[in-house]
Amino acid sequence: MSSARDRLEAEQADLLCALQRGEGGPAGLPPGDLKRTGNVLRSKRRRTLASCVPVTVTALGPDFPHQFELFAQQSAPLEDGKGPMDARAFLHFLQQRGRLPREAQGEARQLGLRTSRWLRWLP
Amino acid sequence: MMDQHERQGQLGALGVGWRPQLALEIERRQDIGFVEIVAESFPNGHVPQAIMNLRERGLPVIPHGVGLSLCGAQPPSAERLALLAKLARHCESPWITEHLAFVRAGGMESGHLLPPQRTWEALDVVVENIERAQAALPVPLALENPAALFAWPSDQLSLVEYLTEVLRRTGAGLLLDISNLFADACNYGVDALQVLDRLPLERVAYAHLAGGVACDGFYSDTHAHPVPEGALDLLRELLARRPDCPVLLERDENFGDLASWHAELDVVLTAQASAHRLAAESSGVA
Repeated sequence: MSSARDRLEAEQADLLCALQRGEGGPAGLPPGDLKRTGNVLRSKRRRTLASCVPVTVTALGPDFPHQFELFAQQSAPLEDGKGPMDARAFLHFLQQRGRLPREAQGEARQLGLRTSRWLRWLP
Repeated sequence: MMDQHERQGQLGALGVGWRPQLALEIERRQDIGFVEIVAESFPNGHVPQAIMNLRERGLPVIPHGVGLSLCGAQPPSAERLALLAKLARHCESPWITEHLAFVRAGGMESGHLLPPQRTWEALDVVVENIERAQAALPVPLALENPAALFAWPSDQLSLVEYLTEVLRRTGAGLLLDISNLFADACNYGVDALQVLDRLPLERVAYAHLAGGVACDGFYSDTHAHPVPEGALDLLRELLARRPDCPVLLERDENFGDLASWHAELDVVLTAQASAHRLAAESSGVA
């Protein structure tokens, strides 16, 4: 890559890291702008994910925003259009934490997750 | 080869973003003149029969990419360009459209369109990316202005300077997103009317219009809320300058309220009819 491309990559990567961390970013960028951008991106991610697994979201009720935030903190965003993959990862996250509602099992199976009360005994 | 004016004439006045949830409504509504499909929604290059039915009815179908990251450091991916090209050939599209934005860097995805650095150095990279894309695509490319979620401290060019320079250097068309321009006016004080006065509006392939919402003093172009009156006013200003500009309504969520979607389409048609009438009156044509 040219040095101009290298500089562009470094600056943009720095921004994406800062958005994931919630701090830092390009010199001179107001922290409020970074936080707001992160909120907008997370909000879009949450809405897209929710539209892929509406039954799960309904079943989680008021716990959905919290569970989503925990999930978003430990998993990087996917590219636009990969909502079902993100939703599958979220259901897997819930499943691993023992938080997948029973009502969500249909959606989980549709997204390719194995659901079974005996799952924990499988290697 | 068709020139830009002829390409623009291929589009009907009113367009919609095709979504599966709107398929039946789009098929039923006979005044829709073209549709846009999100390219990444059809990763194998094949589109549903519902879209081919629209093609058979004579509606242009435009592949609209969201993942090319033309303002990123990496050259556009051959695989993504091939998908856009395949869709355009399959649908006999007059245009392919994408964004003046980046969506990935350092091996990470943003999940959303982020604004480019408007510096002269970054512009050189972007122009090279666009030229590479144009060389790989079978039809002309039109580029959309994104809504800025933030302003890069390093910016050297204004929005209109940046857009004008990109168009001048690449020869690409412009997909003028009126709602994104409205968002920039609300959030960053961009003089939207000055932008309309200074842009080469003859290069606009078509315009986008979508709804949004203000929250904590920041307006977001969500494609999920009603189109605000301010954005409609800006659309009317565009049409006053270019009465023949095709306009496409985008909606990505909130499909339960189809009455409002139809109503917004009717508002666009009314605005276009009014602009045509005023243009005819001012030119002295009866």
